[in-house]
Amino acid sequence: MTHLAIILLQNDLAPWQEVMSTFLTEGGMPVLGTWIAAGLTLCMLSFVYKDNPFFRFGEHLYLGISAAYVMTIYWFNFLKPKFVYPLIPVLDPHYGTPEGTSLNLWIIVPGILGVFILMRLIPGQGWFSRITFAFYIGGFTGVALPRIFAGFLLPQFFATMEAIPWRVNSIDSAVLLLNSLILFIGALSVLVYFFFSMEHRGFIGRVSRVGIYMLMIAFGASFGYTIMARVSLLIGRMQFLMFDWIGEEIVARIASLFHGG
Amino acid sequence: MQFFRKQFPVLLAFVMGMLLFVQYFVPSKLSKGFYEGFADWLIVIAGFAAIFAIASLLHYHMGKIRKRVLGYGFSVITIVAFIQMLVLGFVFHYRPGTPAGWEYQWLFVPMQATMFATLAFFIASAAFRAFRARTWEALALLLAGLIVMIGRVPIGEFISPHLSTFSDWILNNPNMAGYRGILLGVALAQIAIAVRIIFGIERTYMGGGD
Amino acid sequence: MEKVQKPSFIERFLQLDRRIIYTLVVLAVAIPLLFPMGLPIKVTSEVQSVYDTIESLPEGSHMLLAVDYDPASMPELYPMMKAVMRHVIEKKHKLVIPVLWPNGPNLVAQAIEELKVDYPDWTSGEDYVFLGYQVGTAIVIISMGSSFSRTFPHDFYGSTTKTMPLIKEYDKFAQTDYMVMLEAGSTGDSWIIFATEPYDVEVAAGVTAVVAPQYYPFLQAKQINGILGGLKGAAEYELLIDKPAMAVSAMDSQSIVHALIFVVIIIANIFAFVLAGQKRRQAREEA
Repeated sequence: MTHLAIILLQNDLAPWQEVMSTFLTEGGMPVLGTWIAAGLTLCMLSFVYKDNPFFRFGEHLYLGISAAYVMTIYWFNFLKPKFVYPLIPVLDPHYGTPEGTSLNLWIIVPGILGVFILMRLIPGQGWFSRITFAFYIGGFTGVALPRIFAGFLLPQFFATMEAIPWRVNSIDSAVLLLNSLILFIGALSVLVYFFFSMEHRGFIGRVSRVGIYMLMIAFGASFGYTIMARVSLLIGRMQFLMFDWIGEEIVARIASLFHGG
Repeated sequence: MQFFRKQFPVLLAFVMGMLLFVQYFVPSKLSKGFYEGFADWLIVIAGFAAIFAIASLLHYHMGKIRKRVLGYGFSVITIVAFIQMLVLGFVFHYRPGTPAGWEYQWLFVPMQATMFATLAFFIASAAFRAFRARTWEALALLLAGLIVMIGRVPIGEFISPHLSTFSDWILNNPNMAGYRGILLGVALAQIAIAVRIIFGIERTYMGGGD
Repeated sequence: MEKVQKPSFIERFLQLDRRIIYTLVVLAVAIPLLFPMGLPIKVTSEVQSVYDTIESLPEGSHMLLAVDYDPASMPELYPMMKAVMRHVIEKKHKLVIPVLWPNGPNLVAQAIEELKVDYPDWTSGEDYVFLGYQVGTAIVIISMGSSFSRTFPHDFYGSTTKTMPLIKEYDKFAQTDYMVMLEAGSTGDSWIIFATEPYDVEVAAGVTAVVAPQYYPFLQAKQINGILGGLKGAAEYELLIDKPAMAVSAMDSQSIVHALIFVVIIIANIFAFVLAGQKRRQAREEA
């Protein structure tokens, strides 16, 4: 049992690793993988027609695998090196060498705060998590506040003002002036539109209407780009089905039938 | 006990918030050490929060199985998939060339990628059905969308170089102005919320928990 | 009895079965994949400036490649990532790769394996360090400001980072000469707020098409120096490094589907406009 625990903690499987890797990446396993991937791709695509058991199978399989993959990553990248090893350095396979983790008992404090979050799963004990959230969100807010101001609000604000060229002496600079006015008036009018404390009537109403138009153009651009994104993903899947699954040779042969040859 | 449930979290948020806010303006070794140590601790807490998210997912599906809710068989699939992947991952690691890496490549990747690829069909269908210029605002949205959509791919350049120039102009000027307004709004809102959190006016993030 | 009017052609067209549209979309993707047309791809200035920056850095410069996406955006960002990595290797820059999205690390590992076929001498720990994933997003970014090896004690493959030759010379965010962040969401904002602005590091954004328009204000404010937007951005980069691959070969399909949706939207709008006119006239006549 102890031996198994040590294997798990130290992941000392080097001798098997190579054999396993060869088995999984050469020969039959990638072929099997391609067929499984193609089957699952079709399961997920079937949702386009309507919700059906094949899709729901894929959806639930996806959930389980995804959660376990992420949990495995937390284990190797977070729990072991940032929590277990600092508390019990002997478990680190590099213990006693310069690469080893050094003891840090302070890590117990955030560990306890972390366990408080898990206590939400116990009925009636959920309030413990408020202490953790207060510590985390409160502290993070303190970190973020000046940095959002200095790194986000101010640069964006100054870039809006500085863009305006005040001297116009050529067509280029006239175009620049026009563009910078679009930016200045546009950004300002969007802000006015967002400012709900004032009634949107009269002058304010007219400015906020300009804001609406600026937002519509921005959302339009996003819509155009969103189509690009979704289509790219579909192309990716089609490339997989056509070239990796069916195979480039067969696809080329099918294509040649239509070439008039 | 009541103090630890109600007042203590608000006080703690205030103290932590103020300490780290002030830290930004204090250029000393001690202050830097405090800031770095705080980040180390938060990573540990964030890790537990992430584990909680996964635990909640499993809790939900186990509940469905226990209560034999209609379609609980699908929850069994989730749990079985989770356990086998977890065991393989913990024993052999998750890098390529391990069983978990193999499952990632051939099961997880195609499923997640396809889930989002299906949106191409829905967006095409929705564009046909709902994308109408019924008002002047909708016309602005429609025109910007069409020009960017066609001007940003090679066929737009092929039809007319002006199309791509015009779509570049839209992106770099009116689109940018619109998003600049949004960004400034977001930054101001974030600052306002931050102040509210530090002073205990905003407490919804703590959740119920009682 | 009221006479039931047969729906006109226009009405029937506007009620077109969605499955017909789906079929058209599939054909518009598949046919150009079978018969490539090779439409010319124009390189935009946003992409050119990223290429120029990497090109002009002296050999051995420290580059950070932040990977914040997962398989949901793989068709867009994977070719982009590979193209940028290839360029970095060709220019002999040093590369550190952190991942802040939990489902992403294996994609980077896959790209590294594929690139190692062309560059077998590209060595982990010396030429590049693949840090893998760490939990906490903005907190990880903050923590990387003080030390990479403290934030990521082990790399993706489980080796200790603090003793690696590259990490010994490049262990703090401030030592970055240029950064490229691959973003499928809003993690890029955190990089800007907590890292590139405070440490004054130049950065480019390689982003999915969905978020690309939102990055233009950062470009204008010079908070980023370039945008690779979606699959088109990836295709442009592949052309710039003279290695046309997945993204370039997908561009014809991309063009044809866009043209299809463009035409469909315009026809639907014209028909809807005509139909509305007809209905208005009918209502007036009945009145």
